[in-house]
Amino acid sequence: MARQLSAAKPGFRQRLLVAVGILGGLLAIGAACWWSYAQIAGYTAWQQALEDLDQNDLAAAKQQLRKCVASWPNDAEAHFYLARVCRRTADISGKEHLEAALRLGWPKEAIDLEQELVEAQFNDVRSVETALYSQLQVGHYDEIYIMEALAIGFLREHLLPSLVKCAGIWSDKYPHDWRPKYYWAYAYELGDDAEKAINRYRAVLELKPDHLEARRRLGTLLRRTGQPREAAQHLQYYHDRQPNNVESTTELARCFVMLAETGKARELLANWMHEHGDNNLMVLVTKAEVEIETAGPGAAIPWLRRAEQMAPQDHQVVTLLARSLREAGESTEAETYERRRDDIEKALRRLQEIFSVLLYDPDNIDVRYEAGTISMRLGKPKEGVRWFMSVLQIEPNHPGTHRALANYYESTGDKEKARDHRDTAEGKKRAIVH
Amino acid sequence: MPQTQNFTRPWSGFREQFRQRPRVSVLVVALTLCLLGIGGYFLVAPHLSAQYHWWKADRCQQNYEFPEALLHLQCCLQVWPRSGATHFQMGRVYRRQGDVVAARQQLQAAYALRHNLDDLQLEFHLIEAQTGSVQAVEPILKKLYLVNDHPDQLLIYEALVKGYRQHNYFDQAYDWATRWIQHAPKDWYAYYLRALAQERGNQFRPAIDDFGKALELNPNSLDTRLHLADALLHIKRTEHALQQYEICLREQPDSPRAGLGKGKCLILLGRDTEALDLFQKLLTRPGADRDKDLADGFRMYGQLLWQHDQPDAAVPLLQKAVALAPTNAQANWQLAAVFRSLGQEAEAKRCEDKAQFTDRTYIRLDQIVGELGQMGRLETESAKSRAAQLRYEAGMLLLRLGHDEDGIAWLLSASQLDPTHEPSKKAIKDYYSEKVPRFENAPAR
Repeated sequence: MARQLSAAKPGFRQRLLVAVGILGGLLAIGAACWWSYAQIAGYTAWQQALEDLDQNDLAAAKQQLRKCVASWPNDAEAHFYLARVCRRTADISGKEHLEAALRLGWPKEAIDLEQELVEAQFNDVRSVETALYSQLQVGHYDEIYIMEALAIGFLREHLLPSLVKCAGIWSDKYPHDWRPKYYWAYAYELGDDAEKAINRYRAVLELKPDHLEARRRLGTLLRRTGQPREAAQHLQYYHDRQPNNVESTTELARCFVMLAETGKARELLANWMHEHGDNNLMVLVTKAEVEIETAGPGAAIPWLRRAEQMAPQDHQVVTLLARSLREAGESTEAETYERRRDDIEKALRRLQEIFSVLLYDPDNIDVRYEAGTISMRLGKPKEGVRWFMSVLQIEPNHPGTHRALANYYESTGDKEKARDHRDTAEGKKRAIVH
Repeated sequence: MPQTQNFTRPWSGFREQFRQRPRVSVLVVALTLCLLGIGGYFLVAPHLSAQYHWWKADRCQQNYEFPEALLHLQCCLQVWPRSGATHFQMGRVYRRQGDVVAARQQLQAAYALRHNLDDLQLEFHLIEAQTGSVQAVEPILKKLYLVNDHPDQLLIYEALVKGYRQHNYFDQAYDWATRWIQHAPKDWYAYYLRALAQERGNQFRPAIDDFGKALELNPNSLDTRLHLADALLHIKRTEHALQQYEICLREQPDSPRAGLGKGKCLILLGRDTEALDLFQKLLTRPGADRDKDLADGFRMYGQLLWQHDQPDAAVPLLQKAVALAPTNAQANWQLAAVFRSLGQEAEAKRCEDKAQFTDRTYIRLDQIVGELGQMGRLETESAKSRAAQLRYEAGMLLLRLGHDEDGIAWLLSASQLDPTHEPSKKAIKDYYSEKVPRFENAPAR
């Protein structure tokens, strides 16, 4: 028995060893599989990201690059590419990936350039404009990214001549690229040159027929310049693919009204309101326009009153109300709205003048400040803040602008920002960093 | 037991069977080899073919045969569509051929395929050197690439020579071409480009030497021979020029430039009948009456007819010449003379005025080019300022003559040389504001 036991003991040990060996082997195989899976997943994501970038599908590329970084956390190139895509999609989380790329040994020059592009795109394009143009002058493989960041920066700061110049250089270098033509068109649209904007948007669509935003903008401009038939084609194309977009829906409805197809317009708006409710200013105004054409001004007035509650200084609302009331025989009330309409039109004309002044004198802070004040008065606080911020880019301690911003933030209940601006306006504090 | 044997060595039975049937076994082996061969052919042959085209493209590049190089590289791309190196080489060839738009497109494709960044950076510098602001790129190329024997040194020289020549900096183009020749004395293209720079700077005798040297090294270059013939004709070595034009016409009988050159030589040598025959053939081809390059041909043909007492036949030819090239002084002079002989004084006066203006302009342009040549390297600020003024003047003269592209190139070179030169900046701005509407030319920062 003892012999049997002693013979059994080594057997057990052996079995234990074999079991441990097998377990160890399985663990090793598991680890190898896991490592291989991570490598393969990273590689697949990387290849897919490169393809997405090639197709200019930045959102998909970002998603793939995030997967890639998750699989390859120590890959400097993946971090760098992700940082770049984040910047291009206006996602501030790119900063940490840029830092990671630097830490992991990605070339400093590339990181520095990327930081300049971030500065151009999000902060102060003027501070890096010269440096970036110098890079373009001597040639750089990242020249497309440089021109893109400059264009976005110029657009953000409403430097339209600079945007046109940049898009022109870009288009000269890459005449088959739709992007510079899109920025060009956008600049002309903002500069109120509809004819040129239309031509450029058409050029965009020749190069990229499925560019939805270009179609929407082109359709809108064509409608505004009295070409509803062609406009309707573009807007319908957009609407078929983005049926929830309010701008394209209302513009398409207006096209239908111009084409005397009011039934279609009504149906379109009714469908939209059924899906999304009837609390949208643009839809209310368009609905009122349709009612004026079909049932007369009296039917439009209730819609316009609702719109007025949402935007009492909106030019279109006030104009339509004045017209409808006048035509409905409500002369006294119509006169009040006509006076308001005249005031608003005066302000809008002044804004147009300011645009013209800024074309030749982009650093004129007085007119920028005035544009901010007018925008606020017209009930367009976002635009107003953008104008005020553009003043602070040039003159960070401009007291009037800080006072105006303090008033605005007080009205929105943002006490901290309001106090900061008030202090700077009163000289208690120096330039606020935004 | 045999079962175990068969289990461990499954082929043993087959071997035995094959031994017993030698013909079948030979057939099976042959079939297997065929299948392997066919498979191998379809797998390997495209790559071998692509490799061959790659090698040929390289050879073509070395011989400056850019269109052929592109064809070979396109064959490579069919097999290797995702090859960054092939896209890069295509970009380089397009750039050397002067098509920078296509070059950029290919280089961006190479960038997307993660081709070597150092190579790409150099190529983007070379694009700017060749077509953009060569003076801004030159220091970078000198500092980063020309310190040691860079493998692409000759390409850098080539781009700099082309860039300086294009911007009318003849001395710099000459200097860089000379350095190139020092490094590659057997390179015909270096002599050719140096000769072009000299020709553009009105240095015809040294240009002839260099064109001759280029032809010695590459006798098949038709363009070099045409330039040589033009330069010989310019310094009145008419017999020699005629010989060169005739060689060109033997190689390319339809060449209008060689035909015109030969016609000019024949007139100068007094062989009018031959010249008349030649012009009649050359100028009655379909489309000839719309070809601006043939304006001088119509002029010479008209001149010959007038000299042979056929003024009525000469007038439409000379008018055609003036219509194709309104600033051709000789055509205007001759048309004026013919009108006068026909008693049409007012018409004659109008043509004379145009001719005089053009003559004066070209004389002044020659003076400017001569003065710029004498100035050499611009060391002082005053020399730079004077050169900028001369370049500005040349630009304005050319714009007035209707040579917009050349005029703007001179104005831009003035502005690059002296960024504080206000007249050039204003002229450029005025030019563009006339050509394109206001909004595009509002002063950008």
